[in-house]
Amino acid sequence: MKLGLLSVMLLVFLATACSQKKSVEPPNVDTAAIDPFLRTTITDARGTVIASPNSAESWGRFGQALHAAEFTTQAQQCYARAVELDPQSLRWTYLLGLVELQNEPASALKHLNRAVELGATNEAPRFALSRALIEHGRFDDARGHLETLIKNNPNHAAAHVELARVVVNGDLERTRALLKPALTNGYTVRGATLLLAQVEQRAGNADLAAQLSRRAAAMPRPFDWPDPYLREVQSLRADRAKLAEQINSWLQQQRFSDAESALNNLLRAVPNDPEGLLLLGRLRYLQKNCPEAEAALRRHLEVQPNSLNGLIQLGIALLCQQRWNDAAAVLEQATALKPDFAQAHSNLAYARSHAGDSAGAIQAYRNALRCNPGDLNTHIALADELGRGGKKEEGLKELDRIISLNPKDPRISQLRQRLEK
Amino acid sequence: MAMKERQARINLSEAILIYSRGLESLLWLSCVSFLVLSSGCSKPSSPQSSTGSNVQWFSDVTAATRLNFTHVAGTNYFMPDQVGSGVALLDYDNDGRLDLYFVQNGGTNGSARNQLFHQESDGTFRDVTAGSGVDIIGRGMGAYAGDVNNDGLVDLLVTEYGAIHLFQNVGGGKFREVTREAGLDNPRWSAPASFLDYDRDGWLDIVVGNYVDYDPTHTCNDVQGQQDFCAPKTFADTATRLWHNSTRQSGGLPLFADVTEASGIFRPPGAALGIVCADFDGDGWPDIFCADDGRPNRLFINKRNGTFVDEAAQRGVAFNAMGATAANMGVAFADIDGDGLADLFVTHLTEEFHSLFKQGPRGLFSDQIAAAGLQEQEWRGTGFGTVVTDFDSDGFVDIASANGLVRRIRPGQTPVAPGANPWWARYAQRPQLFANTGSGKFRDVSSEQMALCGAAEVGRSLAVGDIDNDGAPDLVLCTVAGPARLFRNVCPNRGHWLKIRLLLPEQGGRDAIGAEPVVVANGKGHWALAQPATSYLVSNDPAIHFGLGAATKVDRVEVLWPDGTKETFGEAAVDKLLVLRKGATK
Repeated sequence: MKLGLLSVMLLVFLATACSQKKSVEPPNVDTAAIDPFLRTTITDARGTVIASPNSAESWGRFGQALHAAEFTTQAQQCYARAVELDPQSLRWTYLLGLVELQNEPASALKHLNRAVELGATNEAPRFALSRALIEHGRFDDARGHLETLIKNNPNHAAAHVELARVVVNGDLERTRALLKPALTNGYTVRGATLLLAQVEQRAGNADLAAQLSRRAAAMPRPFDWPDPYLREVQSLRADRAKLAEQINSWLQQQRFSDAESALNNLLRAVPNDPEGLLLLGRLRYLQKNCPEAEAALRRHLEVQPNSLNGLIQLGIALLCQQRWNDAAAVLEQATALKPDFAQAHSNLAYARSHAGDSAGAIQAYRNALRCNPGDLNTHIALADELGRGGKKEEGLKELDRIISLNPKDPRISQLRQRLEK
Repeated sequence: MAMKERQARINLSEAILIYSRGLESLLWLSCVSFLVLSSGCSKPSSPQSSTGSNVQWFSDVTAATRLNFTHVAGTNYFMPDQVGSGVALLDYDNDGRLDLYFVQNGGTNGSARNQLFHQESDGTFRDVTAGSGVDIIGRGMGAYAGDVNNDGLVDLLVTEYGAIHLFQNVGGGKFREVTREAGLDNPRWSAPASFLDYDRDGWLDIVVGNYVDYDPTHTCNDVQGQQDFCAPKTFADTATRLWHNSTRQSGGLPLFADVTEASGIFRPPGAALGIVCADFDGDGWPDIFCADDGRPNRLFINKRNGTFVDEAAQRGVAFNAMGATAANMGVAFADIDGDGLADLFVTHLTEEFHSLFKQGPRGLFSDQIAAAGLQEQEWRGTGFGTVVTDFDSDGFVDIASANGLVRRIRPGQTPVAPGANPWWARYAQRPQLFANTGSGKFRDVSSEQMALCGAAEVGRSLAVGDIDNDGAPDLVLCTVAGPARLFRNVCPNRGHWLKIRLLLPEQGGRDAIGAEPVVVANGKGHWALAQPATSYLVSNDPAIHFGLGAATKVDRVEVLWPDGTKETFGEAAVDKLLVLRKGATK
């Protein structure tokens, strides 16, 4: 009787012990060289796992931090542990599927399928699964998921494009219809236009296809279709490189106050950050404050004396102050460092021309074209310089080249008048 | 076993069948001996499976053939170091044996020279670099062979970071650099190039693909903060260059006119790492495909009036199966599914799938990598050089690729091949071999093919040619900062084969670059392209290998010559080299 009781107790104890989540050591990665922000995120997340080893959330967040730093194998371990601890979690199941896609596609598809089951109305896992299925040639399976996505959300432009990709080889008319809503969506317009070009080429409409291709080529590179789970991971990457990329993007969009404020933060943290100083120089130039641009760029060049980017920007800052000889000297330094630097040759030509060195300017324009044939602006500047330097015959020859490159260029007639005077 | 493999024997001579104008005659040439391994290529009465786990298709004969070339590259993240350098397989002295010309990347301040190896009558290689005229130092990329002045001697074009060089073969094993006097100049980072006769005037023109507008002062870190090579997207695109051959007007001295602008090929610019020149749209005129790293590929369609227009997007070769840009690097153009239409295979990064752009209908392509089973690899390599040919001669083309990483963030593979530079080991990956199952699918047989795929190196260029004249395609693998390797095809139970060399008697007897032969045997047509400049930074054997499986005779060979004329050659025996001269049947 006693023995029986002991046996039962032992069994209960063993069952309880086994049901306890086994202790798993969180992965350790070398973070020595990592951007401080990301390093802190990884260290903190690891600490949280150590403090709460049975928390799926802790493991998942640690996985995200590792994922953001491209420690893919370790991220996969963490997501897998998070799923083990919380099999109902869509987020961790989905992210596990995503990181497995490259090296363990079968397991990835299994986890993506599971994520779809866990969140039947959630678009991101189903869309990712559809794309993975297309990549693996399982078009029929992908078609079903894409049709579900479109049924649930008729405005899911990316699902329209992917479904069009699935049917393009068999049904041109349906492909056209599927692409139509995607042609007006910022995320999908480029891809949809390109696919439509293929459809039209297949339908024998070569001119329309060419027109669509040209239109697509002129469009900016698209962003990926938004994925809230991946965005969470990407948001952990707030390193300096990413910040610099963001500032550059603001400069291109002329969002100067956003750029200024971010640059202030960046340079406050690291006063001699070369990328920050370069961007500050660019910002000041765009704000037409050329002396301050020059000052920032000279500071940049103190840190990185051979920075070609710094030299070309400083050259521009000097050109805008009409300091032609100073600009020429800086640009000559740039072309010596990079003999095929077309933009530097071109700017050097401009500087020399204004400094009265016509022969030097002509030579520099020719060097620019040697590096970058077909550059219409440089051809026009060269023709102009030849004309002003008294080499009208050569200028007219240059004009013929310009006409052959773009007969409709509005500058041609004006240039001809000057050369034929 | 290893001892046994080192035992050498002399291979049997091969019969060479030559068609001469107006009459067929058999010409028996002297035996080409070659040091080979004991696992010979016994000729089967009918082809059998040749992909068993113990059956090796290749054997490393680098040491046995005394081939001694080690690539030099720096270790300071200078981007051109990472791109690697190529090799040209050429018979510069017309002795019937392929010689090898390797490109170095040690920079002009170094001492590493490009090296020329002559293949001796016993199949070994002798370094004949000194005094050859091609022993330059620099940041070398690719080497391309073609006879630019129609004198019957094959000339050499070398691309570099910051230059190109044209060497005229003046005979006697000597070359003369004629770049400047020939009117060639390219200060950019040139990598892929090709000879083609785009205006069908009988003279070989030159296209050079420039890579990115590299800024050597720019440094890049990965997301983990470690310095690494910059990604190509960091830098701007550059224009592809085209030169028209005007040698006809110069009395035989190579002369070219820069038609980059006039031809329209400068737009759009790109970042070319691979080029293949072939008729993509079926009009009989050669077009130019550029595999662009991290950009949409470009397909310059020849408008037959000296101009080209990019039609890659609408013809389906600009983007991968998912409509995305990829790191397009090596290229092969071959009829992969045997439907008579050439398909395009392009290698990509580990984190991407390669692309297999299948053609159909004529002139239109779609990436069907998954349908070919090529997405189900044992692992995914970062592919550079790639060769599509029928290694086991079973009648279905197979695929080989040289692999090597470009970023340190993912660990390289092991074991690393002996002789590899330890700094570069982090980028090492094993080559891969995909066997055609015959049902339109490929199977990754790399783990069974340890002789070729067993050791990791920073693989870049991969060239194919019948080095030992035994009718089986051999491989030359070039690595970054490591030794070049020669892999002899030792595949047992190979099927029957035919090797074809297409020559143009009116052009000094040079190779008919751009010709398209179709070998018909057992009622099946086998299409191929005479274009040595495929894969990645290499020039392959100008002779074309056809695997014929069980076919015991060739019914006919139809040739579409580069000038657009067609000619049909009659019945021929198999397992031979067939030299076809244009106009011989008239």
